[in-house]
Amino acid sequence: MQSKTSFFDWTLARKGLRRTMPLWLTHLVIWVFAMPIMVVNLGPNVGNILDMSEYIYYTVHIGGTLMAFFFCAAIVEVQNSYLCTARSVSFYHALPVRRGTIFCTNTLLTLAVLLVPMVLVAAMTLAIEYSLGLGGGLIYLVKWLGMYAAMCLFFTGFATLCSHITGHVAAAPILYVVLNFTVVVVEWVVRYIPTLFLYGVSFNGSTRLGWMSPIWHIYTECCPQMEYTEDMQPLRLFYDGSGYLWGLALCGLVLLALAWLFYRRRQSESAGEFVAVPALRPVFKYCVTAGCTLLLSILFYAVSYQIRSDARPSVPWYTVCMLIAAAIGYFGSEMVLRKSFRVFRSWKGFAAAALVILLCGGVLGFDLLGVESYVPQASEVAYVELQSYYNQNFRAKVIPEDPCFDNVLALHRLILDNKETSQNLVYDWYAGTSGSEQYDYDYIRLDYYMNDGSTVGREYYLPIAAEAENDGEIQDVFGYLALVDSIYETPEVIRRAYSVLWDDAPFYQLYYGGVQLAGIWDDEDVLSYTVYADLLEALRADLLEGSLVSNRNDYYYSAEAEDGQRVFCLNLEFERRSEEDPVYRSYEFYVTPEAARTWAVLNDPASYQEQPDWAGEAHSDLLPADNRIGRDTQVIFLPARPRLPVTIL
Amino acid sequence: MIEVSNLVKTFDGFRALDGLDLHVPKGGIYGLVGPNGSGKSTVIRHITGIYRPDSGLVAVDGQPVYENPAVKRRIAYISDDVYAFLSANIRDMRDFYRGIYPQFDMQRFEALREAFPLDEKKAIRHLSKGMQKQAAFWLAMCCRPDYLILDEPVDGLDPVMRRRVWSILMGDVADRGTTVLVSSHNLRELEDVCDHVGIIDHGRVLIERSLSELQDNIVKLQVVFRGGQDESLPGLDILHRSTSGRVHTVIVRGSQAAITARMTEIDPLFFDLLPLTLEEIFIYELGGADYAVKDIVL
Repeated sequence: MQSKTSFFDWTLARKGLRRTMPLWLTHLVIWVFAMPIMVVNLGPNVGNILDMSEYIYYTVHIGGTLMAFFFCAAIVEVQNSYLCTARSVSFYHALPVRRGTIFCTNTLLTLAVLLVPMVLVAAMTLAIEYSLGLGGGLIYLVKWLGMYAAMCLFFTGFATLCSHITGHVAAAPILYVVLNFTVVVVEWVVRYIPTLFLYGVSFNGSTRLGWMSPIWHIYTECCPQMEYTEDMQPLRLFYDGSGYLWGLALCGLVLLALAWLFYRRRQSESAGEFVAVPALRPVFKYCVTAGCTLLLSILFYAVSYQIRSDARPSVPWYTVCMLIAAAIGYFGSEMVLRKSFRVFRSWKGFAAAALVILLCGGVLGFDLLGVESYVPQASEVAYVELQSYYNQNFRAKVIPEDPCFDNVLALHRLILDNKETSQNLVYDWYAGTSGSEQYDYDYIRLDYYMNDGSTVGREYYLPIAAEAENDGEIQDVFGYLALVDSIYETPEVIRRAYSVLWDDAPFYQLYYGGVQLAGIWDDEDVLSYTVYADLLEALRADLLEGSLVSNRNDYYYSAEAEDGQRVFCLNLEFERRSEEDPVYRSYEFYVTPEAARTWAVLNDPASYQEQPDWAGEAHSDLLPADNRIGRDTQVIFLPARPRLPVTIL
Repeated sequence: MIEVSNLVKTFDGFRALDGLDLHVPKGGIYGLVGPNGSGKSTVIRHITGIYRPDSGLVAVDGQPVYENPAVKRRIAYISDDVYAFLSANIRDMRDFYRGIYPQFDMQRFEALREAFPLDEKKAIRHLSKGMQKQAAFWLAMCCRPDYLILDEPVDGLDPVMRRRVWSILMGDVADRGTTVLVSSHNLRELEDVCDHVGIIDHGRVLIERSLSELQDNIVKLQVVFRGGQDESLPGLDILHRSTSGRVHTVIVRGSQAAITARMTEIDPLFFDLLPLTLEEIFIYELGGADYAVKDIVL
């Protein structure tokens, strides 16, 4: 029977339904296990519909994304596989059916076999929820269905476009998988490569274009969220990122429209071609060339050069690797397109690509864009975060109005000025060259958050101080340490770093305080609630005065270096009760003898819930080495670090 | 009537059809012959609406074929390489064709069961090549097409089945006025069934005539000259010439009457005019188009 509507053909639909049956049946069975049967199993343990619906939302988030990604592509591939052989495409296109009818029938059938069973699954789930006494789940199931439908629409559109661009049965799935992750991978690589060669340029793995790789974005940025009442009862459930999913659905429609345009113009004789659209063949060739250049060059460079322990960055060698990788990509794609190994006569395109690569190598090698030497102006910066391993990776946030802001820029310039010396020492140290071991090395990271919303990240591994063998005396060889300390000890920075003690104090409450000997985690003396207020007051005063040391790796590790010694450590944990999830913050302070106000609290045995072993001992009595406090551990108290003279060049 | 005019098709820079003109009259069997790669299958794929022309017109009864279901519903096509859905048997394909072709004739399907002794429940791809061809004929004939397009139709069929298939085809032509366009290299067979022939080469139709016109326009002349007589046969359009002893065999273009008149004037010792087979016409016509049969010396 011929369909009365011109965009749908029941005969083709019936045939498609039979051909794809193994796929949509498997899809249905998986969802029956993932939804109704899961609800049956979870029912006795879940007290309310919001918690149950949260589980259901998670099935969309975790399993649903992958299910839509796989099954949409698989069904579209089966439906459109006729485009890949001359025999089948001749059969289909000789039928008295318009291409538009074939396209619409296949697309609607793909969506139908995926989504109609989902309505059944949702209905079963709803019935089970009601039978378990969990009413009111309809709205969440409808939203779940909507979100899954949005994903299916997008992935169907994407897969359909891929299958209409290609004419080879293996090309469509390859293209589909590759394109789904292309943007995020290319961005990673493009932002990673400069970190290999430009001094200090860093990449922390974050992406700006990750939203263009849907699976990546869904898994990293979207998530079910629950709001709770004051007494931690679930109040409202929503899917954070549902707007993105609706955007994907819209995008899926656009991709379908694009696929239809390609199909309308598609030549039947393109069956078997890797790229069926002639206009896209050069695009394919140069995209493969660029992709191979980016990915393979890193691999070649790492294997052929960077793997050496004494390897210093070599842009010329990397350029050679890029050229080899580009040749593989260019001539490989030519072979795929022409289905022949005789492709080396078309060298002109590769020559053009090679010129671009040489240009990129020159830009990278000579830092022609000035990336390496760039130090932002104060007027460009909203704030900057300084992180120093020497200070236990403590992140100091500095704004341009802070008196120490110029010190941040001065530190950055000083690091750049000493680039050659610092790099030589670091690479000598990597190579185990004599002389380099007399330095302590520090990792310093600067993250500028610019007024225009962008970020500039730099990280340096530096010889920061001479070895502490000189009777503990610190030699600030390059002047870095003094600048870093001057930033960390600025009251504004301290107040910002410990905002729970100042600006955020009204929102946070201290809910745990304990004294511990660092490194002995199972033996902690817990402070009494009654002293919390006094303790916080003491901490504020000592921190601003600079007599309370926190987060100092040099102290921590120098103390640990001697067997049996432990540093006296104060652990505090704060909690913020907000409308959303509670937020926790933990702090660890190494208490110095100079922190008089803090010691006044800690030395009082009444400050503890249980009397500590060392109760009654004044901290000054515990010093120095031979003082034992009933354990086989010697407690040492670290002196405040001496103030170093700051020299801004 | 199938009309193809000034049809051009290019594949990756290769001009497969170069302004081709073709006219298939209604209610007859038209044989399309030509050397390998001449463009026969390409023109057939245009007539069946598979290929979109780069330029030119392909029309059936005045209606363009490409993306025109109303016209394509009247056309059945059997390709040289039969396609069936994976694991589909004859009954599955029958049901599919019934859905696609509204005029599908179930009574005919039952009637032709005897002519095609095939296992209807066996997957078509598991049948032999000849059996797949039989299945394709069976299904195509049940679609009751006004136009039947066949690309190497009897390739793979045994002689008995060939005769049976041609018999059914010619029955349809006689009873229903079905128009058949058939492409084949089996010229002896075409000669028996075709009433029109088109010879195609290098993407162009060289000759397109009724078979009788074609055979009347080219003759084989056997002649024995008198001693000392001029053997150049002036005034005749000679396509090919060979000699065996005193007997000269000459392929001459022209009507039998005109050639007989000219030979009477020349007055050789002996001459005789013989009709050419389609195969000979094909060979000698293409000989003039750089496709001569060359003697191969090993």
